Amino acid sequence: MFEIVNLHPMPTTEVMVGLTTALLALNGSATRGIVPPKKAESPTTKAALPPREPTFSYFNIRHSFKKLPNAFAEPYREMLALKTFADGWDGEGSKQIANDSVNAALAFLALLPSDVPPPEASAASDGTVDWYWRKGSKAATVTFYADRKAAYFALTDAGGVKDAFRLVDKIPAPLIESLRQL
Amino acid sequence: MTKEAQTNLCCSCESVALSELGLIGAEEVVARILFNPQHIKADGTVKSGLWSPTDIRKKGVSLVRPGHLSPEALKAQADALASNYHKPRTAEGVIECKAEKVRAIFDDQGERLLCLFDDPVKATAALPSNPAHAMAIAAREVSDADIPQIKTLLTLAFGPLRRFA
Repeated sequence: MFEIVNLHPMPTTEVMVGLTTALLALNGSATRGIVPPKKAESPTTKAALPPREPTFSYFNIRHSFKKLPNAFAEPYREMLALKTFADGWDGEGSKQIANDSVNAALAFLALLPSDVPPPEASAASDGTVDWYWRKGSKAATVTFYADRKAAYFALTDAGGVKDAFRLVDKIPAPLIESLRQL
Repeated sequence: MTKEAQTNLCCSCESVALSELGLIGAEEVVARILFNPQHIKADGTVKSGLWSPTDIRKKGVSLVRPGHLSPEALKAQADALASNYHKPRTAEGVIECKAEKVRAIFDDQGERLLCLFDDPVKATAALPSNPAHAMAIAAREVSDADIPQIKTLLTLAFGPLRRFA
């Protein structure tokens, strides 16, 4: 039922694969982390609570189980899959995708508000990764380097915004505002 | 951040032709050959990852000048590059844009971020010569924040994939 996403550096991808396998075995399912929205709620409970967005869950080594909006499930899997890209994946001299970069990108996804459209995962031949959004002639890219360093550029009707930042526990507000327009 | 193209203000490499084909004009089309489907979206546009920060900063982004190559010669160049690799790979096609769009990527101070110039390649034991090769590279030392701007604007500038026949 659950997948593991390592929001903090781990030694190898193999460790994550092993832990993922173990968790899948414990849950007896390989549904890739999708948790369907709950249906069975009493009318009184339903009336009392605000509507909840469908989410999917994953396991974070340090922070136990986490939930992300369902819309982020595919980007999450796409980004996680980039860890399997070895040296040479994109031609001569292309480098293995850096675990650090993917981990930072997944941590970023976990911090992203649910009203932001889902990004696309993208990898570059030098081992860095991006989240990428595009809506017609407008677009945004967040590039993740090593050591949780990241940088963004977003082009919206309001113009372009860009900056570099170190991902700790929040996403720069100008970026979030721009992403909401894509 | 994107202004009218101002050629040759900062990129002296654009002022002197290195090949007999001459300078790359503002209206000339340049193309990027794609080999990896990973970079191509379902709608034929490309993802930002196509543009490597290391290429932008140091190595240069490899391009061709399709106006100086017949479609057959362009395909032959692509196939030669595809076969000159230790793993099997196929040239998927090209994406194209006018040179002026690459040259119209500016930083906040209005300075060009990319130079685009002709870069003829001599024949090697493995590859044929390519006088219609071109290169785009950072016009100055670019910051981490400049990189996603360049990647985003290149992605927007180039059209969708045109597959080889």
